[in-house]
Amino acid sequence: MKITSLFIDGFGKFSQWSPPDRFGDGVTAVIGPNEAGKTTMLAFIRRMLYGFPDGRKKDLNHYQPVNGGKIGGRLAFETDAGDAYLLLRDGVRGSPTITRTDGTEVSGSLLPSLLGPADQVFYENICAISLDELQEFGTIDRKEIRDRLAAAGAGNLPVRKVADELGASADAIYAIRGKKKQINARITELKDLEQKIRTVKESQGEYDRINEAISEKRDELARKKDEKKSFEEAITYATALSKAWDLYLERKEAIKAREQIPETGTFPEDALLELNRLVEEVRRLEEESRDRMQQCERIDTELETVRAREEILNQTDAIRSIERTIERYRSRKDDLTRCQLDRVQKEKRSTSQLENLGDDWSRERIIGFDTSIAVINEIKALHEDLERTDDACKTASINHTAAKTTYMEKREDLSLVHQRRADIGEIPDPGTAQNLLGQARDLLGVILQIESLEDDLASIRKEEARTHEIIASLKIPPAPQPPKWPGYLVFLAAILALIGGFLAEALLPAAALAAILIIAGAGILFFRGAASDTGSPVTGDGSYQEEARTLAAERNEIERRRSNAEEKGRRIAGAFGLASIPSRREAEDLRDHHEDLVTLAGRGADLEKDIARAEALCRTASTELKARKDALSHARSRRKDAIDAWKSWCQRRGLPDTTHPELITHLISGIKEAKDLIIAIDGDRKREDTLYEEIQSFEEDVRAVAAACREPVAGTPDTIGERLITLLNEAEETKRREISLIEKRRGEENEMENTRSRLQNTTGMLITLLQSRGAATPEEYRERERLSREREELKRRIHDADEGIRRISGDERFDDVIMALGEYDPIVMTTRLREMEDEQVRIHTSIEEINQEIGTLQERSSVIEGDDRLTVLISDAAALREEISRISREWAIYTTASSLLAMAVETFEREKQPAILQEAQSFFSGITEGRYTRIIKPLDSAHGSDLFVEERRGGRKKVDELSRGTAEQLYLALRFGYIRDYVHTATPVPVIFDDILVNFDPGRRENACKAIAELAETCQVLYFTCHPETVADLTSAAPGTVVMDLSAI
Amino acid sequence: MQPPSRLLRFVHTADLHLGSRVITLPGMDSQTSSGLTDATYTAWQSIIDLCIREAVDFLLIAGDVYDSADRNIRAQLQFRDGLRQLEKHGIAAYIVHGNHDPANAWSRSIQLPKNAHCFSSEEPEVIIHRDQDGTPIAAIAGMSFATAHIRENLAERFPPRDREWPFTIGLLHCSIGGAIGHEPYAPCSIDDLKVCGYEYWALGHIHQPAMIASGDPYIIYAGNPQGRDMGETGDRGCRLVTVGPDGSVGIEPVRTGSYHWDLIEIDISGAVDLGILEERIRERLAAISEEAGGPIITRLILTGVTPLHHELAGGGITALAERLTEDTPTGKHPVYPERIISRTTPRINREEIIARDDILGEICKKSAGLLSGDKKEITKAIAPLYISYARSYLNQPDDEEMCAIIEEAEALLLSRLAAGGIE
Repeated sequence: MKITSLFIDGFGKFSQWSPPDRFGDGVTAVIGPNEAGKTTMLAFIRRMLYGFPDGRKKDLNHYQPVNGGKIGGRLAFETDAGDAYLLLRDGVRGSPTITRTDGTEVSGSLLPSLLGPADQVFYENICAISLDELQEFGTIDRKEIRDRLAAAGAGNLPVRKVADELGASADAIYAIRGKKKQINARITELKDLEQKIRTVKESQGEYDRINEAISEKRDELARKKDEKKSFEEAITYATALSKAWDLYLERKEAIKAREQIPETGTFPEDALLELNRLVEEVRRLEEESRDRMQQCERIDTELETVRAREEILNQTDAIRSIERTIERYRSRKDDLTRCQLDRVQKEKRSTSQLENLGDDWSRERIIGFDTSIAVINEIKALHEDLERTDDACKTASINHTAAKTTYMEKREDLSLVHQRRADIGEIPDPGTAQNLLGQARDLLGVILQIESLEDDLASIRKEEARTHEIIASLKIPPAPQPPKWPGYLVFLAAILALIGGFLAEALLPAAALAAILIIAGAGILFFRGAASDTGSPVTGDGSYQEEARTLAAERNEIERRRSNAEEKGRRIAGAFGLASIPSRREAEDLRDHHEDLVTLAGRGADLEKDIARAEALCRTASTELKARKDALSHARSRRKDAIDAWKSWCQRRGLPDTTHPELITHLISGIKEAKDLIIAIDGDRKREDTLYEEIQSFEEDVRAVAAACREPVAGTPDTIGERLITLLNEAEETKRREISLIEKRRGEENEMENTRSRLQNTTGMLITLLQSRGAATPEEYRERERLSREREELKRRIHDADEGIRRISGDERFDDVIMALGEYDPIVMTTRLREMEDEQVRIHTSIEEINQEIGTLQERSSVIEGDDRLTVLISDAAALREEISRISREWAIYTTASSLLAMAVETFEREKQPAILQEAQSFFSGITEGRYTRIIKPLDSAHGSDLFVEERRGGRKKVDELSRGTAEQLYLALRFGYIRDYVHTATPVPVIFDDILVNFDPGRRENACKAIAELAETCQVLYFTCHPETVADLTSAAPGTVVMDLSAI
Repeated sequence: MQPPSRLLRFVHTADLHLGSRVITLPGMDSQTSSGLTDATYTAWQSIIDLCIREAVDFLLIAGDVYDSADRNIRAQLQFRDGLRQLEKHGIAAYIVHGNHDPANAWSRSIQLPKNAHCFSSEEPEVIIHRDQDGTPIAAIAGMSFATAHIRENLAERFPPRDREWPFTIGLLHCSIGGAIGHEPYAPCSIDDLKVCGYEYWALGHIHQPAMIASGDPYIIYAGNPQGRDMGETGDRGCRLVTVGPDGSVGIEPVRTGSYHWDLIEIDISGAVDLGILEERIRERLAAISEEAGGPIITRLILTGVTPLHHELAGGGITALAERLTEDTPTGKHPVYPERIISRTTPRINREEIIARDDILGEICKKSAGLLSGDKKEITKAIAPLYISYARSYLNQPDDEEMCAIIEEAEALLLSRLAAGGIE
């Protein structure tokens, strides 16, 4: 198959794009700079052939359309049989659609059949050669080069690499001589696990034996415990006797002591406390009685020295009154002094003010003068009225002067305008002047029209004369027309022929004859008509006649219009007093004159309007002057009324009428101040009188009280008052002390009586207590109480000993124990007890040993019971077996794959490769210009890697002895050879080269291009490049090369 | 609501295999791994809980309580403890021993409680079970294995049903008609059982739950209550049997396995790269997890026509398995992939590859030749491991397995050789 063209709907940068040219049958060189879209186009072709990858596939350039369009497009191709098809792919999914060029769809299996065994992998490996493959030759080592070359000869499949990988993968799991492999590790691990499982199982197997041993030990333990119990009881009894022995001895001793103490009866526990309390109380009461008697005597002595002054106490109220008012008295005295000083100063100021007002102003007149707010408001109103009327007079006067000046100016303006109108003189009104100017212009227009009409008339007359001359020269007689009758005669003959045929019963020939005759007649008539149409001698004469008539008509019309214009001109000239139509020059002068007249008439009219306007302004100014004059008179009248009112007010107040209004406010203020001062002096005098009376009253009171207290009255009244107050305070204090002592004396007497009574009672109670226990004195009482306590103590000791023994023996065995203790021998019993204790220790040790053994066995049993390792271990072992099985299988797959590959390669190399090498040899020889003639692969070589090349002279080289450049050439030759061999057995498919020669020097490139051209003889070659020199070489090697330039995209 | 009237209710279980091995997976977390190894105990406790919850009259255990070869004491103690719980609730237990726990293989030190009755291994015994009022409600005829290897048809020795007996149950560990995958111990036929005239045969030995006959009589293998490896897939549990006053029998399978083993087939047609494939597998496993009753251990079988066929064989499966193990699929319950097996079909027609003249074509031709013919060469190639080194740990691959290995080897080769050639 061969690709002829393509259309990209949307793919990478391409959108709705087709290449500029068709692809060639042989080589097509697609050239364009970097980024022109070569790689995108290449990818498009591959994907059109093998499908677009799923959009979800990662790590792949999907060439999503960036300039619009839907991913996909069309690929036009031809089969080897020359049939043309279109391959369509729409989006990433589904199978392609294949149609013929006429749009009919063909089976979807066409494409696979055309591509044959070239699946995508094959296509990439064989039919597409990229620059990267060759460039890598510069970076990989010789072994890798050798492998690449071997692969190139084997369908470019990485056979060696895969074989190595498979071997390595299998070896990692298991190798016959390997020890540290996965399988070895797993089996070792499994063996360890199995050993652990065996151990655990053995341990589990001991469970029954251990439990039986536990059972036996428990029986033995029970026996030992019984034995131990009987010893414990015997030891307990012996121990009890030994413990009770000391108690028994103490009991015995106490009983003996109690028998030796006499019976004194029982004393209460607090007997001594009560006795001591009563003895102490008696002593204390006697002491208290003595103390109180001494206190009474001390009070009596003090009372004799304390006596208060009665005459002063009698004046208590009066002195307390003085005490309350003494500070007020002092204050009043100070006030009186300050008031007198203040009044004297005011009187001086008043005298000075009266002098300032003048002699007319006495104290009475000032008091009587009204200085109220109403009066001040009156003065203010009169003053404002005077000022306002004065201002109004001044304003009216200024306005009057201004109006007078304006009137004089307007009068002057009017005179000036009148003078300018008189200068112009007599002129018509503007309407008349304008009318005359219109007529002058009409006259000029009529004259111009007449001149124009005369010019037209002259040219028509000239044309008319020329036409008449032509008509005269064309006058020829007309030709005769051919006659119509021969035609009619032929028609008649046809009718007769029809009638004759009908009568002779030969209608058909007659009809035919008649038809011929009718056609002939019609032809005659037609030709006669045509001859009459073409037979007119000269058609031009008629048209000139018509033109002559038209010209005459036009001339007549112009003459009529000229006559009308002349009539109008004469009428207008008459209006201006002219007898005939003036010349064009005169008419123009007339028009100019009237234009000047119109200008003058307009100016005169404007001046008339100015005069009227100036007269109106004069009138207005006169009226204004009169109004201002009246206003001035009115203002002066108001001013006079205000002055009269002020004078009248001054007279009413007793003031001179010459008093200036602005001064009156100062006068009123002075009067008011003097008036206030006089009133204040009168007030001060009254206050002085009141203060004086109050001071006198206080002094009299003080002296009277001092006399009553028999105290001297010398000194200031307030000093006397102070002394009296002091004396009263002292007398009152003395009186309070006296009363207090008397009260205290009375209280002491009462307490003393009370103490005596209590002493008597307490003494009685003490005597009663002593007598109750048969004692005469407190000391005897105390001795009897001591004996009683001793007896009780012995009784308690006996009881305690009994209780101790009872606790040891128990209630039931108490009496037996007491009896046994009566016969008890401590020395014998101690020896016996020690023997029993030794035996007990021995049994106890034995029990502990058995318990320990049971514990050990139980622990082992518990360990077995709680041992959950077994399930885990056997589960792990099972999992490990699975793992061993899994990795063994994996190894088996790797090993099988290795075997399969080896078998396949061996067959391939034996059966297929020689033909490929044969083809490759031809290319290699061409590319190297005959330096190398053969490619040899010995059949006994292992894995097909030992290729040789033979030089022209017969020398052989291994591929790893070749230079890198030659290795690259060999690589290409092998790839080309493979393709050519493939084409022998399958349908050729387009081969794609992606700029593979970019690193070749010019000579090698030229040779390689020749090889490509040779390859293109068997299949279509699409060569993508950005190098023009490569294109040139290709074109040179294959003259039919189609060059497709993508630079313009 | 009144409980449905009933004459009798019991639970039938078998093949507890307490403490036996349960396959764990490499890379599984320790908690799950521990839960899995304890799963047989957990299932036993579920059965005990069921008996108590349903207040059954008795529990029937048809052999193989534990694997006596392991001498697992903990298993026997757990069994005893479960029976003690039943004793506290007045529920009886009737037990026959099977080939894995014959009568002579139990610990002498572990005494079963009084509510448990182990049938004799000498002769079939018949026990009349009575209700609390002393009314006989069931007759249970059973016989234990005396030793592990009983080849005798024990069913033949069972007495015919007495007319006086109430609802009669045969309790036996046996192999009907030589079931595949199990040793043919105590072999018998269905007729051997029918001839006894019992109403219900509670059988053990076969681990796959099965109803051999669904009436006249009911012959039922309860199956083992917990699957332990990929050979024991699907729901596992016991049977809750209710006998109505009219003699009607209701049999309800009750799931007891806490871990579910399953084979899941996933059609991966259309998946074009491993990432997409992984997403699809995760989606499927998440859906399965939502519907499951507990954690699932699954073997994934990938099928369908896919361009990934060769890539999967060439390491794709291993990579997928590692990813799914490292990052377990999420869902209601955890899903643990045990293994992934590719049974996909390549998109390229194999016949077309065979038709090619290149090495790929040769590989397919060779593999086709091996598959249809003599495999000696391959058998010889793998012999060092299978026959020599690890013989005692490996099963020799049979013909089917050999074919699978060859097919996978071919796919691996095609994948590796085409690597990088496909977009």
